[in-house]
Amino acid sequence: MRRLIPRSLQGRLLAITAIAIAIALLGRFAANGFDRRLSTELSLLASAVDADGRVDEKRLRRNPTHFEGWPDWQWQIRTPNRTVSSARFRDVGWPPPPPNAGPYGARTRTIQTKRGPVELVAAQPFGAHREPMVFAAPSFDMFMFLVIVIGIASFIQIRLGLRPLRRLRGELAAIRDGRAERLSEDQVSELLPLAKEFNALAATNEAALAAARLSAANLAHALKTPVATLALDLRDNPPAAAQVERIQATIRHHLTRARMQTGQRRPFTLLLPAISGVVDAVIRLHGERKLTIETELPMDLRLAVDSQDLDELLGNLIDNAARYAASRVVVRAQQETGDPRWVQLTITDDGPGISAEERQRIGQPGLRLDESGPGHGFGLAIVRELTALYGGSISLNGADGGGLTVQVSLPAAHGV
Amino acid sequence: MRILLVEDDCDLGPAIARALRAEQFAVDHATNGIDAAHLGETEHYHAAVLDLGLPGQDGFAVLRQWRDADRALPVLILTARDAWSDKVAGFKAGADDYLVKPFRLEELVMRLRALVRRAAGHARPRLECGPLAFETQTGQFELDGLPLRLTALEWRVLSQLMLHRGTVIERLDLLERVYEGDAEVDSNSLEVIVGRLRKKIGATLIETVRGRGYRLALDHP
Repeated sequence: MRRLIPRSLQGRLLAITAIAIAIALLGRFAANGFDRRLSTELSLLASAVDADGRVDEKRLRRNPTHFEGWPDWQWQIRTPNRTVSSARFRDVGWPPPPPNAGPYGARTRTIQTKRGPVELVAAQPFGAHREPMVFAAPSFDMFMFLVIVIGIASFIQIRLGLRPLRRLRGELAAIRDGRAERLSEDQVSELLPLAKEFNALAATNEAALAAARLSAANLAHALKTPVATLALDLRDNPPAAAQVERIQATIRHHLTRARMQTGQRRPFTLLLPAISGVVDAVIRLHGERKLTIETELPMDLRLAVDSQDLDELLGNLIDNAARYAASRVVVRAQQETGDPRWVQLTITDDGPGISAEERQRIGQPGLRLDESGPGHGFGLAIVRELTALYGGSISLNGADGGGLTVQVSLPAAHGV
Repeated sequence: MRILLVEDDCDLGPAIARALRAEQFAVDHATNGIDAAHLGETEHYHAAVLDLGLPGQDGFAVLRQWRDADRALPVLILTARDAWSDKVAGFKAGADDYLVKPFRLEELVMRLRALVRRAAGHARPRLECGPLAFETQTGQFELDGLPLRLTALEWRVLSQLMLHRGTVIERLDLLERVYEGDAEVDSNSLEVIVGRLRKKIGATLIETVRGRGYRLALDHP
């Protein structure tokens, strides 16, 4: 079914205004047009009647435009002793109904003469009230002019009137990009309830996410401690220890996933402090090794990535690199030159690197967290899932002097 | 080596304590944040193993309290929280190492030994002193290249002397770092242990510094 009602608010308002204006103007112009025409006619008729009540038919014939060029407009002059009418004049009695009231309408005027009153009747064309535009034609130009002026005025009014809606859309986009947390409550009164409802909804969502996160953490603690105890008790029983190992791997896998899926998605994180924190942690975790981790990045780089997710990403990437590095890891980050909406993160180690097949296996988007064992695989699987969550990409390359280079592109936080 | 273990789980805590004692460590076990903070501030430990979720006050608060009181003891956080954000927060609070539950006991022991060794200022895992060698990663002592069998108390005394070889270890300090907090200590027991050690490694390696304590001689012929 075709839609008759426009899909846009602007379209609807414009359509309604246009129809309303058309009806009002048409009615008014038609009525005005009839009235003016009828009174002109009455004046012409009056000018053909002299003071003695005689009708000057020659004079009537001198004005062909009004009395013969417009055959639908009828007239009648009733003097005390005779009645002169146009050819198709319908006599509906005295007095005739007023113009515009129905299919038949007329204006009348009475002139006092020496011989008594003379009645003049100017009648609208029969049925003219149904087609006012046709018969009110002399005012059509003026009508169109008004239609255009009022049309432009209402278009401007609607544009201005809908501006708060466009502003609201801008604010929502800012929230999605992580440039804002809430809609401002400085809204027009019609939109204020909407903004308040949205903010309340956002707060509820946030609380639910926080609760989900907390319960994931609680579950972690609740499960891991007894499993740790089991692992200690069973360490002299290899088959049982292997089962415990499997339980541990399963818990780890599911908790990591749960954490990823409950992460808040209103992110805005400064990269430098995040990298410093993780690098310090990795250095200490590998305290027994002589390890240098160099970082090279602009101070003010911000990512549209949740800070916990970013820590998880960086932690896995840098720890992986540190684990396989001979002595040196380099972490670089910069805005992509071609597309500043993305930040390119590069982690290079000077370790043995990985074979092309293995690189392909790990780099495959189809490989899931639970299919990759510990080591490069597990960490990189987490990194890949998190990267995908933010619409980024990951690639693995051999470094110039052996080793492995992992490149991850993540969305930059723009604005603010 | 004397360790403060802070773990509130009533199964895991004693299991770790047992396992660490089997590796010669002296272990004091606290089960809540208040006791832990107090013990860490008043007693001398080589290192602490600290859980984060604790009754009383959490591990972060305990750690901050120790650091505020200028206690530099190496702290290993042992927790179920495995998110990198938690690890970063742990190190920022002043931890020296971080191990996630469930863990392998060997890894905990290795990390503890490394922490203690590094805190004593040694970068390399093997310490030597004349014919005596101490493999800090395995905790094994060697004399002239052969493994040396020691009791727990002997091992603790000798490892303390070895970590600070060349310097005098005060008697009281040595006692504090060898016995668990609730042990009955006989004032002569240290002499007895040192006597047995001298029988095993030769009489001259351990010097008695009168009125003060003992020293492992560096300039041994």
